Amino acid sequence: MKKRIATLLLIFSTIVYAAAQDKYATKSGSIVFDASVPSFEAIKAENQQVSAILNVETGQFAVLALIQGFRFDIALMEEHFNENYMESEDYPKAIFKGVISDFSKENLKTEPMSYTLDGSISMHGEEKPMQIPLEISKQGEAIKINTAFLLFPEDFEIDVPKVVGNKIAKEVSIQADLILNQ
Amino acid sequence: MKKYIVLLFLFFFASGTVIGYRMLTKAHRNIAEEVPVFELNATGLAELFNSGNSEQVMDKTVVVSGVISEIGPSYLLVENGVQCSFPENSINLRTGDTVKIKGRCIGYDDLFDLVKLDQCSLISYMP
Repeated sequence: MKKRIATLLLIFSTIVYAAAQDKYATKSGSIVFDASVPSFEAIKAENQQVSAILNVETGQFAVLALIQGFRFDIALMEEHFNENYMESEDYPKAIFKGVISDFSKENLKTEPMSYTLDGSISMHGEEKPMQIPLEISKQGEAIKINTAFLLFPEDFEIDVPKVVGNKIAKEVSIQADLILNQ
Repeated sequence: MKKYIVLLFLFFFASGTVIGYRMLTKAHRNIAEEVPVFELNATGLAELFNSGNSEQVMDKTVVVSGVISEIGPSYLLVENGVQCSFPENSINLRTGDTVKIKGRCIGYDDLFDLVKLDQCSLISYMP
């Protein structure tokens, strides 16, 4: 009887232990947003409090960035970004989530490997399905995920007034640098 | 008559330039110097968000108090409910310390159920 209980406990604790092992996460990831146009003022901001969770068993991946967390060098630019473009009072978050195709933790190396996130981006009240290219590598005990892609303000109903049209890039570059730990 | 018109025009032009310049070079808010709109413990702050009253604190300065539950690169968690970001490498505290932190509320993180504050400064601590 005692032996059976001991065995059951061992199996149970292994399952629980294994379950806890499948999530890698960060609360301080970085996303850089750049909408600069050459020879005009740089429009660039960084958010260093990005949250992300990766489930290494299922490949599910979610990233959340608070719009207010994007810091610009120029205060006025930050104000316009929040009040006029992103309307962050009404839409405070940007979320990208989906499943990383063919993800396998065992295959990860210290050199980055290319993967695709099959999912969507939600921002400014709009959700757009997207295939996002990811570069994933092992960094010690952590998993490092980098990505760089372009977004179009019009896809998210973000109005760029014609007056400033030529000072803001039509395609906005997004770069994320996430180091996920268990 | 013409002289006055030219002078008037120059005055408006000069004022416009000064106003424009000052707007462009306006400094960021100094959160550490602002008077907080609320002083709460971590649970109280999370409650504000969960009860749909977030506009009372969004983009505003608050002071949150509680025990440090986690320390990460340039941030710490208070009572697993509030994440406070500090300028790089400036955190000299330990988990278990009781703290009072002033910061700007930037929103609620659904992935970890955390209220996030940035531009934080330490008001007081008790080891």
